[in-house]
Amino acid sequence: MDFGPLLLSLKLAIVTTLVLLIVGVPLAYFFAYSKFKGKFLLEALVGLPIVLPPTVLGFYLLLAFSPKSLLGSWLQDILGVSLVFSFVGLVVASVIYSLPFMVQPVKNGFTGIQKSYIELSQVLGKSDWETFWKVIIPNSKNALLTGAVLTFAHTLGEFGVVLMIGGSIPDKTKVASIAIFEYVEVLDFKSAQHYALILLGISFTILVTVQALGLKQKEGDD
Amino acid sequence: MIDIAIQKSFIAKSSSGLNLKIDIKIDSPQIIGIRGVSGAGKTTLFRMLSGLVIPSSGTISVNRKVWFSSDNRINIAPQKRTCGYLFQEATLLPNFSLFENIRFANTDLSPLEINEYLKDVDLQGQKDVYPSLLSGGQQKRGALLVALAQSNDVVLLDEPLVALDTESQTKVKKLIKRIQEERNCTVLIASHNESVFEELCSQTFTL
Repeated sequence: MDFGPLLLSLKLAIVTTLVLLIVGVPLAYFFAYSKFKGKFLLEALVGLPIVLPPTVLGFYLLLAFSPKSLLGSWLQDILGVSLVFSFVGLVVASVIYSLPFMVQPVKNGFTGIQKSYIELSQVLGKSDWETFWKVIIPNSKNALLTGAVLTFAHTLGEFGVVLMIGGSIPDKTKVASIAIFEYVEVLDFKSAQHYALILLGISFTILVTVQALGLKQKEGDD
Repeated sequence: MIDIAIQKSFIAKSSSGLNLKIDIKIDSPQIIGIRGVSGAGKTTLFRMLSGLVIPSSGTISVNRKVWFSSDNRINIAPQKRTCGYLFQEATLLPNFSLFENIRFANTDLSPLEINEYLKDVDLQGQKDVYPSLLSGGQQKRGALLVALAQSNDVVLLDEPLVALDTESQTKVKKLIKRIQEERNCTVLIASHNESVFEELCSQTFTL
């Protein structure tokens, strides 16, 4: 059995989760606390990948990343980066695709914090930065963990977006879900089964973890 | 010197709304009692003084510093007002132990000083306990220590004696009196407990 696609899936899931912790948490903070009137439009935009067919998102990302597009040619000329059929492209597409799976639970965690905790920190003279790190983040640990676990699981199971942006280049863009698809296409069900069982096991373990976290949170609240 | 002349309008869905008008002048640092039935606006007054609620109009000035002025469009952020505040619901941060809550309030306090404060209200045995494991009375006394941890010009205490037994009430009253005398600050106490006004306050206002 070739472990390359599985390792690539895990690598993609880990990198995407780390990038989304850096990008998604400030965005969740903005959605939770900003008084900006147009933020509902931005929230809808961030939530789009939940309802959009992955192939549609992949199609538009392919157009945007193509060397013929403004963005694609700029990235190619200035930074020397090609986002089509490359691992970097997969990461960027995965970050966009999994954005709501990080932002939504973290935002819910932030808005669930008792307002008086933040107010107490304010009247004690603490800056917004200090309140964020010492009050908001420690009291949203479960939400952050849920966001990270959901993002990881969602990226692991990606197919449509990955296929559109990365194709199937071994050790570069051929992730486990694509390997399964290709083995089924050539009727090699035994090989497809190996990958499918491992993905099933990982996904189930992740969901059990999320459920257990939810229960722990509930017990803490009670 | 504290000069408060503010007005706050609340728009109610069903009727024409509520209007709270407050006019208070305090000439020298002392303990002031704020009387009023439930819903009279005691907590709203404290929230406006601390900067957590913005008055509809008027001015708030403390020791010649303007904290709020609707005419001059001045509104000092809560972080910049030197104000200790015991919330009515006795808030402590759940991610910190009692000791850490007090240290978070004032990082300049030494462990020895914090332990002394804890002793004042019989909480030395609970210093490493997290708020969720404290009783209502212990939380109230802990939150009072957090409110008193900084040397502020103004200290706002919203119902400091609620949930306390008689012995704890006596200790808390003693601590408030001592702190006010030591720091020469203005302490405003909102309460339904008449004994607070009689024993501690040199002046009272009714809302």
